[in-house]
Amino acid sequence: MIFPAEIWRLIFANLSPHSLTQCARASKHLNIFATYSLYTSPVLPTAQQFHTFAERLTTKNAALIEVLDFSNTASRWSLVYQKQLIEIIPKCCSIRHLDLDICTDLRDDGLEIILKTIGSNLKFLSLCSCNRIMDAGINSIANYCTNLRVLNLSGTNGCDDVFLLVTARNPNLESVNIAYCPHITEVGVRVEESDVAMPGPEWETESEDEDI
Amino acid sequence: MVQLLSSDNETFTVDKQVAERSILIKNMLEDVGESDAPIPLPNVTAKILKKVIDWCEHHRGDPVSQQEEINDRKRLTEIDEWDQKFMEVDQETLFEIILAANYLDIKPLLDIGCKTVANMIKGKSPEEIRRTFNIVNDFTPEVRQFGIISHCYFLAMLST
Repeated sequence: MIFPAEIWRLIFANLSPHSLTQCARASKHLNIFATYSLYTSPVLPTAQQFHTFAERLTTKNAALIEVLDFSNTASRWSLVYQKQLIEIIPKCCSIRHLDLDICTDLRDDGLEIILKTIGSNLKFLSLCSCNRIMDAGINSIANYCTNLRVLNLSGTNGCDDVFLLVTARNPNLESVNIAYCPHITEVGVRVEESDVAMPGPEWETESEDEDI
Repeated sequence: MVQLLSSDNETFTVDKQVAERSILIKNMLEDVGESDAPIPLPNVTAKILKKVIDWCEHHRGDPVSQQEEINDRKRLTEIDEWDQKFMEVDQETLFEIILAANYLDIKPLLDIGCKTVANMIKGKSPEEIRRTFNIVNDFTPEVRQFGIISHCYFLAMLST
């Protein structure tokens, strides 16, 4: 059964993490491809699983991660710690999608450490309701995340009109969500809308937000 | 009509619409234009090419556009009955169909083939997987005892 890597990827896309672990134990050859599929977008439904994951993640496997999404991890607001996030995320050198919704232990210093190393890789960043992220954290997004397509900052505190000016210069941006950002004024939004080259990002300022 | 030549030199005559289920052939026809010369397919044997043509005949009317998008959404759904029957072949043939679908760039057929293989893996232990696919356990005894187990310890955690 000799398939090229891209076919293994298609086959394994149909399998659960459990089936993939069984494959990983079958042979060296299958181990390579199953490991790849397991780590591309790890599934971490509980905080306990995240802890185990963070403890055991090797640099080699971290490099396989492309999507890290905590938005389905239960109790992340109280049990996913900044200390662990800054330990593992900078190792994920292939990451392009990072969702830290309601990881409320994350603070400005932690966010800077993370974004300094991998910020420029990111196409998608969501910090929805990370309410300890202030001006400094928002600044590190503007400084390091130069290739973002989608940015969700709804419910964060540090976002102000100046930040909008900076982000709007990023030609890749397609969508920015700034719902519930208390320091954004209508002036800031309007300036950005007119300043952005066509096709400009779509600004979401309405309070409905399905991610919350 | 389009003529296709298998690797073992058998010629098949098929409708253009049927042949164009293969993006590879579609692009070739666009590049070369109308021609009576058979299209050589050096990676596909007559036996497999016949199967693939059967599939393309049955699915000739399927919408071609947005194929990829539909496939992505359907990823976890079932295979339809006709396709299931179609895939009831020996393993060797199944693998060759998958490789041919990949080479000929027939995404829906490739997708069905991959799902069929995935279904053969689902719910099986490593030993059963080895038996199903005739794979040798080539891990060294040390790795078998410690390496994979500690590696998979956390992997297993992910799945509970």
